[in-house]
Amino acid sequence: MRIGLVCPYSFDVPGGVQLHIRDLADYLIDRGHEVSVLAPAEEDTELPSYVVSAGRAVPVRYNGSVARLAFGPIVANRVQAWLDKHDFDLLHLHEPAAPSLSLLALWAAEVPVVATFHSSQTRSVALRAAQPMLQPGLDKISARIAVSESAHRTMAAHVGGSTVVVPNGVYVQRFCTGTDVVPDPGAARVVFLGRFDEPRKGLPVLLAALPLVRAQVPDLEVLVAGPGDISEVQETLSGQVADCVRFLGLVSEEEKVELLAGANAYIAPNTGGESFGIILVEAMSAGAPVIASELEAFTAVLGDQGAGRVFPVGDHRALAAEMVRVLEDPVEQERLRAAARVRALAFDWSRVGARIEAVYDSVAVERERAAGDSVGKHREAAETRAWTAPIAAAVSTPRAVVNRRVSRPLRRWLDR
Amino acid sequence: MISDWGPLEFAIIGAVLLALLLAVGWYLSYTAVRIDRLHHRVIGTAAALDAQLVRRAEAALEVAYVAGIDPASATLLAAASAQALDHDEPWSQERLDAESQLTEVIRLTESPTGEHLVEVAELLTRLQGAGERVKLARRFHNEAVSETRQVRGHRLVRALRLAGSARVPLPINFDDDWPREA
Repeated sequence: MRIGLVCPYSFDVPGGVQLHIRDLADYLIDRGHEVSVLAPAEEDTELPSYVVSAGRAVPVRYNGSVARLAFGPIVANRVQAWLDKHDFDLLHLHEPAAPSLSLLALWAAEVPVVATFHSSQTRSVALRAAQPMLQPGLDKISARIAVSESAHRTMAAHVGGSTVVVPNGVYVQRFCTGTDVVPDPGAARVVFLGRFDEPRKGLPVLLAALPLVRAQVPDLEVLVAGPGDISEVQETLSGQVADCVRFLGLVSEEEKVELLAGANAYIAPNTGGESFGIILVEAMSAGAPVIASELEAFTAVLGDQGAGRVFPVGDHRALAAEMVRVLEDPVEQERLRAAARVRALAFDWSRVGARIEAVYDSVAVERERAAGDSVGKHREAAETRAWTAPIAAAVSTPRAVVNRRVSRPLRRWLDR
Repeated sequence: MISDWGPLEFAIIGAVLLALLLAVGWYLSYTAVRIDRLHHRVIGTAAALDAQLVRRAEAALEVAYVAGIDPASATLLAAASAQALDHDEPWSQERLDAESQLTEVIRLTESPTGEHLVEVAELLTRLQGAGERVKLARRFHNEAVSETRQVRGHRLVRALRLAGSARVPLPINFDDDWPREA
């Protein structure tokens, strides 16, 4: 199938949506589809060969946060040109309600559209005001995917309609280190990953729990990795625990895997705003025992088979108690590690990708193309259709759109 | 009263009326275009459902022939899938019945257990994948249909016949409950 993926956010800055699209494109190409990704990007950044830049994105305040988006007539023209050039069987847009490339592509789309809703948020006044601009596009979406139950509810509240929930994927294999990094069962190494100066990521909750933990686990070691202002956070540390917390700054993918694989506990103390816990899946794939706050997104990832431990959101005492329990019990660590590895497989791209492909197949039909490049012909056909088709023609549901490809012996048998 | 009005008042009234007229006109054309777009979507989802149904019947037929299930099951399966494939009319009740029947037969002739050859396993996965896709496709189609019917149901749309002569799309209903959710 010829598939066009549209990413609304700048491809040169890291982010959950961008990563998801990159992984999805890799998966689809691997499965033999023709894929092109349209995304905003700076002129001089290096992009994978399948990514087409739609120009640079500008930071804009929209619906309560600042996002880097691409819009305007020049960008709209580029979107149209991209669509014309590739003649897709199907478009898969991400975050179609964000006023960026996805929305532009949606307006211009003439083929079946699948849309994935990633975010979960409660502010909706802005979106309601934008409804008349969004509606024409939303009407074109044949299948909606939400990455989690909460993303589904956000979407249902804003734009209505039902969805298929397909979680985000992880290439589990990339997080399996083999045997070279083995956690020391006697150690008490705790890992936190993420943008630590953002309060909703919950580092303050972890830091508040540390004195309580250290009172019982003297050799506690806390590793904090991720971008953020280190000195600012360090000032808030009390003297009791200042010497056991280490800040690693931004780490590479390989370092991240090693860090997780060597952890005696991975802490996700987030206090809200998470739509999906991709980082939990990564930690679980690497075999880190997980202790996470009881957010809906997190409990959904952990499942009900005890693949990780949870504590009430924001409760540093409960977190401390869980940490002590896990750190003092190597057997429990081993159990968590094994259970997490099994659970993580549910989010492997082989599973997630297959479900997305099933959604594609259920709304789009791969069009037969004449030998050679038939792009021009198809476009011409599309144009005449758009201008002349009376609505009446639009309703009969033609069956023969598909060539029945029955194998020859079957055909013969059927024709008897 | 009206006799007191000067040209200014008339101009204002005229402008207001014109603006109102334009707004109504814009709204009507917006809705008409919207209905057209929804109808296009319905065509697309119906075509996809059709394609998946054909694929499912083919897969079932191949399972009947190659997968080495018992001859009674194979006969049932082959007959049901051939019947599902044998319909010229797009969504006649006969076709829907045939599809329901195929679903039922697939459900009853549980896939052969034990060791199978790689090709057999492949066929069975293909049949299962096709079944899942049929379920999804029917769901997406009926969703598109109900959205379209909802917009068409508005009083103004009906009174002004904004949908033109387009037939009201119908939901497609048949038994597609296989495979069951794990």
